[in-house]
Amino acid sequence: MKAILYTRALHWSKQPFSMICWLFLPIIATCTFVTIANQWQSETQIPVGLVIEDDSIMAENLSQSISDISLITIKEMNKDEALVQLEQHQLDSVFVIKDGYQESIQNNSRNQVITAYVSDMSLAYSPVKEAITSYVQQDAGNAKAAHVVEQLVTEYGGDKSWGWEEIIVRSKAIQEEEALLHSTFTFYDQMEPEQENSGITLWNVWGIWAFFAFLTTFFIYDWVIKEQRSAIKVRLSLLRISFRSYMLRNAFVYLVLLGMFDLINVLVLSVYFDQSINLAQVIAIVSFRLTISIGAFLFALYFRTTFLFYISSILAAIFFSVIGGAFIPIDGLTDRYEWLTYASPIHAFLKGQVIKAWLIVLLVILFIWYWRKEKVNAYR
Amino acid sequence: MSSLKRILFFIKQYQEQLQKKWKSIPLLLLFPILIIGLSLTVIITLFLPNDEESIQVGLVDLDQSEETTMLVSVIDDSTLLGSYIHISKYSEEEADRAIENGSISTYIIFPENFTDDLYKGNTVEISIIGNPNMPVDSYMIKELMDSMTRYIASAQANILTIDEYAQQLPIDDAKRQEILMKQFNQFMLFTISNDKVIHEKEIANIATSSPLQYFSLSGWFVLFTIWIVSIYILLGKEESMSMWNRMRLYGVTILQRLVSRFIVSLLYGLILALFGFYLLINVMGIEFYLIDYARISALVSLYSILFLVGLSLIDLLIKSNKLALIVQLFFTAFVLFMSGSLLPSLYFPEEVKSVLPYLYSTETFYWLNEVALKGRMYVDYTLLLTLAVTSIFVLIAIAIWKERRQS
Repeated sequence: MKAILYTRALHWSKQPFSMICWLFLPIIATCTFVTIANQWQSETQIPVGLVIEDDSIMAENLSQSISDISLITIKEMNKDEALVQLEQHQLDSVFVIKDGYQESIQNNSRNQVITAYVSDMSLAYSPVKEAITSYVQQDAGNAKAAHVVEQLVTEYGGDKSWGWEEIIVRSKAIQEEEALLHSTFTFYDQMEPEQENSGITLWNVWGIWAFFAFLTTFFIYDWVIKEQRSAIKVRLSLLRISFRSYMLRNAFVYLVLLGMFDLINVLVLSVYFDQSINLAQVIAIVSFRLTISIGAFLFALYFRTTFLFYISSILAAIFFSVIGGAFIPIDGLTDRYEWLTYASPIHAFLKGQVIKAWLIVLLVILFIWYWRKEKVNAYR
Repeated sequence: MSSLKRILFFIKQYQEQLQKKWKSIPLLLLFPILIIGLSLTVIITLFLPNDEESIQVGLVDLDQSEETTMLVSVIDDSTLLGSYIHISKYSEEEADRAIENGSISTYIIFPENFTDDLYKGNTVEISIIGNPNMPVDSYMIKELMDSMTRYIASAQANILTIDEYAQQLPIDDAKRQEILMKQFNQFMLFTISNDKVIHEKEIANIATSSPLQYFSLSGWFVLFTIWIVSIYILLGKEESMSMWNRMRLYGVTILQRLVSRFIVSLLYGLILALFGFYLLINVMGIEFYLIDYARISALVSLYSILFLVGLSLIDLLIKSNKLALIVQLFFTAFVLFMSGSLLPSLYFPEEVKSVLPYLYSTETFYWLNEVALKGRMYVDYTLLLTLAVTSIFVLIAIAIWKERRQS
């Protein structure tokens, strides 16, 4: 065993940089990918057209607050131009502040004060509509409060009278000063509440890491194919141990190496993304590592050339990741077809399962491979 | 002249290589279709609600005051947004257990003294606990609750305003409380009916693209790009240094092999792409004339040339085979994403949008869209042509430089 370790170390010392690169690839790729994706999402801007047909102060304030929304870019134009651009899909949607906006709000009739035009390709209409509605609602709410106060004054008399503007200003002040209702969101197993702007809930960090780990494991296991080249294989007949045993011991060395780097990966990931790590997850990672390594080993035994092996491992990685829900959660699909949960080792890993069908099946195949050939050789 | 002869020779050799591997070609070509189909199914099942189950939300009332009990009893076992969201009442332990066994996706807690704090103007916090196994559902409920709380917060401010002014009027406390209660209900209704604010009109212009057509076009685009990559990679073969030395004795240069591999992939890629396009047009029933096909072929060839140049450059510059393969994979993904076929380029961030006019995939997809879906008669080839010519020269230059370095 020491000899095998020594030979492997010799092999690695010939290309230290390349080995290190491959071992760190999952972590680098996952971090880059998730950071870029989050950055992208937070900087997305939706172009929206705004038509202001009312020239009151309230309409102006409204358009000012709408253009302050970070999610959308406002393009002010007149109605015909806006509709033409909407038809050409250069705008996501068009909002028109109708004439008489201020009067309607002040008269407490806030229904249908804004007209929105959507096309069939307006993918971002809902959040934009929500944002604009909330601003109009605020205006209308303030006006309603002022209305009620004035009503109370007329009903209950008193020598006080406050101006309309004064009430609205007071209402806005209260909204800013007082700590009012707010909501916090946590996942069931997490301790700290999520921040407002963390988009991590949508991207499964572990899923992306699993995809890259799968890919790099398969690529690192190309040593199996290189060892089987006939020119090199000759020297193996001089060993004291059988060929199968030699391969298995090398596989074990690689497994330990990959396992160590896994732990480093996991530590970096958990620190970088504030994910909580508990013992169950660590065991799930170990089991995943075991499954993939055995899978890579058996898969590589099947191929004669590295070239075909690389292509097939890329295809396998993509296939199993998509089926396993690494990029996009497949909960919708698994609800309908229960058996899909067994289709991919990645899925089992993401759900945190320790003993998986894949692990058992692959172990069985490994044993069969190891013991069967021995028998064949014994007869010759 | 001999250079041309050798290129032709290698073209024939690559052709034979392709024919030898003819068994794996159908698999390789069908694989992208399979993956795209799978991804689409996953995305669609994600966004469409399951027919039997709607999203289950739990409601835990720790306040147990008159208002919250009334509110909860009204909402309990009711559905919002049609039958999409189903809300039920739970106690805290029941809700925890329900999250663990996955029967609800989120539950909402009204804390103790909720109503009192609301009236007095103290900080109130509604907690939403999500199920980590159902991230998308939890996220949606979170967004919904966030907007609801924003509305309620503004309503709360208004009620406090009314309260403040009412305190200065000669009204006795009981009456004032009654008035506030009435206002509370009215504001609730006001908030819930907030979708009355906007009057929606949909413009459907049949002449321009509909989502189905747009995404079918982008599907075809993604598909034939992947086909080109697959054929290119399939033709690759690593050769040992001794083989290269022998070939150089005959005067073969890297450039010649590169060019022949390029030409073979280009030809086959074009055939497949145009065939796919013809199918697409027929299935979607768009009127197309021969001249339009010519335009599409010109666009597709320019794009393929640029794309293949990119792939060849990666092959030239990176020595390790494994690394080159992975970089080519990332390059393909990048090109596809930037073209705007996966997500319309309308939704890219501003900084990215300023770079977009110079990227060939965006340009190509834009023109494909214009010609195929919007029936435009004119294509501006300037950017693509200049880029193509420049990149070919760059490729030749780098190949020659590499040749010099090797010898």
